[in-house]
Amino acid sequence: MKDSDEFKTIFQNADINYETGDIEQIVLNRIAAHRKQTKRLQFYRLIGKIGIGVTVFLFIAYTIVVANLQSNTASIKSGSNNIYPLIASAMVLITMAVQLELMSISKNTKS
Amino acid sequence: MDDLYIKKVLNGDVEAYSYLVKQYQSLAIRTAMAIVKNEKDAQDVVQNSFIQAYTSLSKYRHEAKFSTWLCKIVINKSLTFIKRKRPQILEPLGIIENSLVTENEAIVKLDNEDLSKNLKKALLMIPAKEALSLQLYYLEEYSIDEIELLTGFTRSNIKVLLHRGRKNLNHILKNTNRI
Repeated sequence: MKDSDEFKTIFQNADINYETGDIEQIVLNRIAAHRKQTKRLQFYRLIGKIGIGVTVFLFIAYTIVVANLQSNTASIKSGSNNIYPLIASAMVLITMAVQLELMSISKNTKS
Repeated sequence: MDDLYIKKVLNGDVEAYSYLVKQYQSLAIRTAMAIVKNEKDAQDVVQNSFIQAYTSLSKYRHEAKFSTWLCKIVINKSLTFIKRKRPQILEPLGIIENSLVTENEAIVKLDNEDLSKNLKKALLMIPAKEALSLQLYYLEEYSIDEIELLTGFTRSNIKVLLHRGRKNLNHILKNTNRI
């Protein structure tokens, strides 16, 4: 069996190269496509975040308006205040929205 | 030099990445070929490896050379590829030794070919892990410690693979020369 040094010489004298094809161009094209897709995804994510923000804002505004109306009506009728259950339900929904957003972020990070 | 281009790529200059691709495509193809044994598959693996290297470039911590880091990606991609597609390539040398008789016909045709061609053919005939270890050790001149880091094989495993690889390669080259 040839010894280690002899193998070193054999490998160093041999020209072990293979056809690379058009790797450089293909890689650059795929990177360009990847960047385009990433930008599109970033845009969709931004739209999604704005959407969630607007929904939350509208929901809070709606809750406050409705709660005020109900509170006024109820306090006129019986003197009790119904604003707290409404605010609590709004908070639960907001927490759920935040949770969904966090789940989507963690999913995107993993991939 | 690599660091300069890596910085450029990280700053959004995609064209700078072509320097890194040009510089290391031969190393990447050689490494992939040692494992997948097919030029087209090797090209696909290398393309995917370069894309992964690009997307993970921000995670490259400059602890090792870029070529070493890329080589590790290529090895992982190639091993995953053959595990999915052709697991028999990873099988130990018993199969190769038995198949040498049937490979003689192919070797006859190589009679007048030069050493490079014979060696390339021989590397394709031996199991992936042996070919990879031999190539990294003798051709790319990595130390056993570096090969351990690159491949995840243990030190003793690498030594065994080198020994078996040399034995197999020697056998094939001897047969080629004798005919």
